[in-house]
Amino acid sequence: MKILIIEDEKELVSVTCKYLQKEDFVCEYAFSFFEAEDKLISYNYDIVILDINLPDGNGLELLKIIKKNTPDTGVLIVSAKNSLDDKLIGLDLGADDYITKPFHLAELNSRINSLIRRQKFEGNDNITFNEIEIDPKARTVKVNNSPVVLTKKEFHLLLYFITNKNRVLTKESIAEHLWGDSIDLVDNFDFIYTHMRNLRKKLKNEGATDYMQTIYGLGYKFGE
Amino acid sequence: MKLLQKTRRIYILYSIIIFIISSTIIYNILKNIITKRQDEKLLHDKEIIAQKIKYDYPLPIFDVEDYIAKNNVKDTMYFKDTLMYQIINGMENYELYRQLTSIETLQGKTYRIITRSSQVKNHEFVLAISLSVGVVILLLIITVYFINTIFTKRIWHPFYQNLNSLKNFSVEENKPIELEDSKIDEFKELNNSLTKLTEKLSSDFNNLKEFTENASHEMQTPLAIMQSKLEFLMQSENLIIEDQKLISAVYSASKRLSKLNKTLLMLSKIENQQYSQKESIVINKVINNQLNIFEDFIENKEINISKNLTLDVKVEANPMLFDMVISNLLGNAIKHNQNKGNIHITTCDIFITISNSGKPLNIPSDSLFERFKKESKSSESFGLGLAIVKKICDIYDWKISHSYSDNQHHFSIYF
Repeated sequence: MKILIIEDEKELVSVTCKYLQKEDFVCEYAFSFFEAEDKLISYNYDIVILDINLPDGNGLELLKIIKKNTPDTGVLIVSAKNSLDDKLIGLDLGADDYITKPFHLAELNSRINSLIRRQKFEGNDNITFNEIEIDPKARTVKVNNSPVVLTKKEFHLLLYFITNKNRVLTKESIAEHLWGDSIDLVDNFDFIYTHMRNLRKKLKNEGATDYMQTIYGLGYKFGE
Repeated sequence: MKLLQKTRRIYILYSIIIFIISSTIIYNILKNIITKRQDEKLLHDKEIIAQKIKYDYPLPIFDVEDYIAKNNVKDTMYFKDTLMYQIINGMENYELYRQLTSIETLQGKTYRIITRSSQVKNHEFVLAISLSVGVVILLLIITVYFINTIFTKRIWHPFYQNLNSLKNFSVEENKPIELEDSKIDEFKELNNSLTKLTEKLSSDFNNLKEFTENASHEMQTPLAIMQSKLEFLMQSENLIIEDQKLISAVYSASKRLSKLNKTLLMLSKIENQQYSQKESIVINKVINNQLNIFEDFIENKEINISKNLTLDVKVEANPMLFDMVISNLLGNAIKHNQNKGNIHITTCDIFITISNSGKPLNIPSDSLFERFKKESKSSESFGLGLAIVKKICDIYDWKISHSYSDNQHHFSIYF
């Protein structure tokens, strides 16, 4: 899962980023309205953590952009202690949750996870696709109830495919989702192929149907 | 040659010439005057002697007829300088005398009257006067020299000060130039012109920067729309292979364009000093971190990584920019490597070197760091990666260099 933190306090961003990276999230950040706007236009995120008070603009404007372009993205508003108005306006504009400064990173993590559950897994703890069952919290995958050992990248690859089932995913978007925004400076995405091959092999070995299709020239698609 | 040095040299040269000429003139004038006075005195003495011979007591007669007959002496009178032998205090020496020799016929007899007077005293006199005048002139020259030096320095001080600030002026720093005021009109005019010029330069530069940044920013939106619509089109069920090929071509072209755009935006952000925050960064951490990110690429090409890292080497820089430097250098080392090639990373207090196996360049080393310089025209990259690295190095005054030896490319950054 890829998260964008929009926040002008650099120290807070760095701490939060480190924490979330440990929790296996791909973490991107923007320190200003301008930077955030650039990022939101060019990349997709699963979750955006948005501070309303930015030095060069109102975060609520960013919220409008997010909800207009990618309604699937979960937005978590970070607000100052006594600004009830911001929270209400934010929620009215389509924010999914809010958290008040100062907050515990554990609380932030829990809110993000619950947001992901609601946004991506239809409220379930586990995601099931026919014989494949994923437990995102425990990071385990079962095929016909027998566990499959996947590497971190393979796990996130599978999760990305399942949450985007029946959609053609380009190599570029897979790479951006799993490795972060800076991966687009790389010219060659062949390395994804290795992970794809291993994932397919492991699932097949446990008796799963091969749901992955290569769409000529475009990318991959997961589905029946 | 410096202005001060030049004026000083000219001054000294002409002072010496003037000093020599004036001393010679003074000496000669004095000498002439004194010799004239001495000659008058000798003449006067001779006259007295002649008077004495004529009227008082004629001197004992001795025959000079022979001499006259032989030499046909006529009445004559001449001055000359002569050396006289004498013993003073038991010491033999020659002393210079002025001598008047006069041959006169007085009362029917021919006399040779020789009067002489020592020139030593006169000489000393002339020398003493010349010397004191010389010393005065010399003192004058020296004083003028020092006064001149001090005042020239003081007068030109604002000029040098301003020259220095002009040298240190960087249009990228976005600070107005600080010039020292001067009371001299020419300098005032120069300062005014310089201030105007640098202000114009700064404003042009800022406009250009703003334009680049805004243009890149504004281009993001249409590009993103293109990409998302293409991704949407990809989802359509009844695409034939030909369509997919077309969509794929347009998609990758738009991705390339947006990548170029992002890189240019990044360059202008670096130029705009948007990453001014500095931290102390442990180099090895960054390298290992980046190696993790590139793990897949390295495995894909089966590249062998060897490291020779010095522990705990730190550098002061913006963490994001430093990440970018290492990421770009490592990315290049992987991209331009052969399959089953190798990468060697060395770090120490003063430099980092990243070496990788690969074919020699067909463009000069220096131009590697220029924008849009790349080896092959067909290559997928834009040739901006190293330009970014160079830009970052410039910000922190680091020196980056490239060399090639034994089939290895070496990129080094000296802190």
